[in-house]
Amino acid sequence: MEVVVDKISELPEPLLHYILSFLPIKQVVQSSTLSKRWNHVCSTIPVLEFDKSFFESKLWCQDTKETCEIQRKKVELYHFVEQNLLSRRRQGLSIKKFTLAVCLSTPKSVSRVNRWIEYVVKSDVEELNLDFQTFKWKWKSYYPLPQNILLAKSITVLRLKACRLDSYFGDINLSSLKILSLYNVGTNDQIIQNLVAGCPVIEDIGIENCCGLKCIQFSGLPKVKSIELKSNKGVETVELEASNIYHVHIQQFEASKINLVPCKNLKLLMLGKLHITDSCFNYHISQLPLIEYLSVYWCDKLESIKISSHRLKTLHILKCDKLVEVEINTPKLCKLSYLGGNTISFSVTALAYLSKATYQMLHSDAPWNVKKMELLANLSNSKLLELLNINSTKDMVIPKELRDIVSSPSYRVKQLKVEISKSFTTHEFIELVDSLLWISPRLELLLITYGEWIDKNWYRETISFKFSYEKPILTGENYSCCKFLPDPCWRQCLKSVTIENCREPANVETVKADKEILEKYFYENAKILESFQFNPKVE
Amino acid sequence: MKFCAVKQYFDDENNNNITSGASTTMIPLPNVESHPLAILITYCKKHLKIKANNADNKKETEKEMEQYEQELLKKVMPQELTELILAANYLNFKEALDFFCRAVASAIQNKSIEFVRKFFGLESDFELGEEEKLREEFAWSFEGVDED
Repeated sequence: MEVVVDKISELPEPLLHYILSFLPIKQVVQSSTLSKRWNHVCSTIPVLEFDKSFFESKLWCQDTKETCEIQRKKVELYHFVEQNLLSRRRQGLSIKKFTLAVCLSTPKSVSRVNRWIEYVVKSDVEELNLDFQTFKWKWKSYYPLPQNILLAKSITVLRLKACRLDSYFGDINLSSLKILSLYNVGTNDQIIQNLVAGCPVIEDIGIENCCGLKCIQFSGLPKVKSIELKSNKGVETVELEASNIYHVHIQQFEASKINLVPCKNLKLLMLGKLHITDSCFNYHISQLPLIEYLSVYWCDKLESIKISSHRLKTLHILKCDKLVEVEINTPKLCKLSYLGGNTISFSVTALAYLSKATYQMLHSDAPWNVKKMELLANLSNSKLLELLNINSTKDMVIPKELRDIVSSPSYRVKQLKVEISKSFTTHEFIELVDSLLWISPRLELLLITYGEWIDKNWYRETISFKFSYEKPILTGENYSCCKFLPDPCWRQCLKSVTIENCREPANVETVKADKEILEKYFYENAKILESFQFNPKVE
Repeated sequence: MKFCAVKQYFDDENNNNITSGASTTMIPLPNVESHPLAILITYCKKHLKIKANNADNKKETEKEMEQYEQELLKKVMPQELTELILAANYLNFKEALDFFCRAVASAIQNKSIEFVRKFFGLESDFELGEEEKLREEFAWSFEGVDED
């Protein structure tokens, strides 16, 4: 056997620390028994993560009985943390990252944690993550955050979960803080304002699931790049003034008043579940011309919106139930995605040829009619079209009467991706393919993904069709199938078809039937077809 | 910029205004052996290529990079990992350093001390009884370890 020479112990200490920082802390502790050098390395590692892998949830679970064994284990863990932090203080070692995820159930545990935090803050900690995971809902009983954290000059990243930050009226000075994240924190408007004002170099603010807030107002934040405000109960107003901000995401269920207009450099905007009106929305869009990515979802007061922008590249409009009219004037748009009912009218001026369009239909939608076809046509000026969340193949079979009066809506689409929830028979398969080829008569790639139960397991399968074409010899004949189209359709030009990954091989009969019927279909309908390849799934 | 140390060398050269034959300049890298250097160069080229191929799509870049990294790990011996880490560190090649350090960590994650000793060729230099004492002190950390 090859003798392994120990080279790893010769790596410089910072590198060993870096490698160890990826391991759970218990393993780091174990590694201190490897050799004297490793003992030293492990006891000086600047990253301490006493997270769920250390304070195992099974010891603190409400159902676990407090046996002597459990007590002893807990004491050992507390003791280790205490000793470790004390020893670092004595040695004057600084801590780069400190994570603590622990359940606080008694006043003793509260004072213990206060002590630990004091040691950590004194050790010039840079990244501090505190998670006081609790089973209680009343935030008034959460752990009150000690004062010294808010005066720690060394902290650059602060993430707090499940604590209280409301009875605090002293100075706040977090002069190095760049990233702030509050999750499930009990607080109030004034404190949050003071907190943000006390962070002169802050770049990233995230406030989610917090209680006690009503009006979130931030102003004069020159370095802020990103703000996320999500699901904070009771928030009615959001006003942001940050001249260099790049990314804003507001998802606030009861908020009816927002003002983001001073954020002139905004590029990425996500507005979700807001009670804002058309005029508020339209005004914002018109005043924020640099937006490149816009996502509007679940805003149930919007009825008629106007989006006119020379910079917008991506637009998502999802489930705004009252929306009936959308006016889009976006010459640089690349990606468009819509989830909603089909009674909406999209009026489009200057829409560039998109690279991707996604249409997700609602199950409650009416079956195909002229209006729905119009909607599909408006969404289909794209190279790739995705049709998602289709219940069954029947939902994609366009009735013949409709095909006679309307032209193919997606004739510019080159790649079509369809996702269907259920599997289908060979007959349904052919009907689907026929309908899809009518919808997009010059496809290069067709992908049909569907879900199937096999032996109590859910699988997703994708069948792909690759098409290649050749210009037909023009005989001046007016073909009925493409009379509305600018170019002849596949029936005239399809030269070769390659079908891959067709269904589970276990289903031998179905696969055989699929092949026969598809071959027949294509040879019968494509006048100049030369090659038909059917490659079933390889096991 | 990958290979920051090399870049620094070029910058210094330009400042001193030595020669214009930059393409034939030989840069001395005394701390890096040829084998790990070759692997790092391949890694760097592959990374840049994947990035260029998936210009807008960050997710695709990450996915492809992950696949390449998995393949690469299969071909690299544990011994070589240490050399690669040293080389990447010297050249100030952050992405590669990150990757190889994580690779070492995941190779020993949740494994027993005996396994780690064998893996690295580590020998204990503790005096009699010292190691036992440590093991006893940290007995609680030894619960719940993978079978080798």
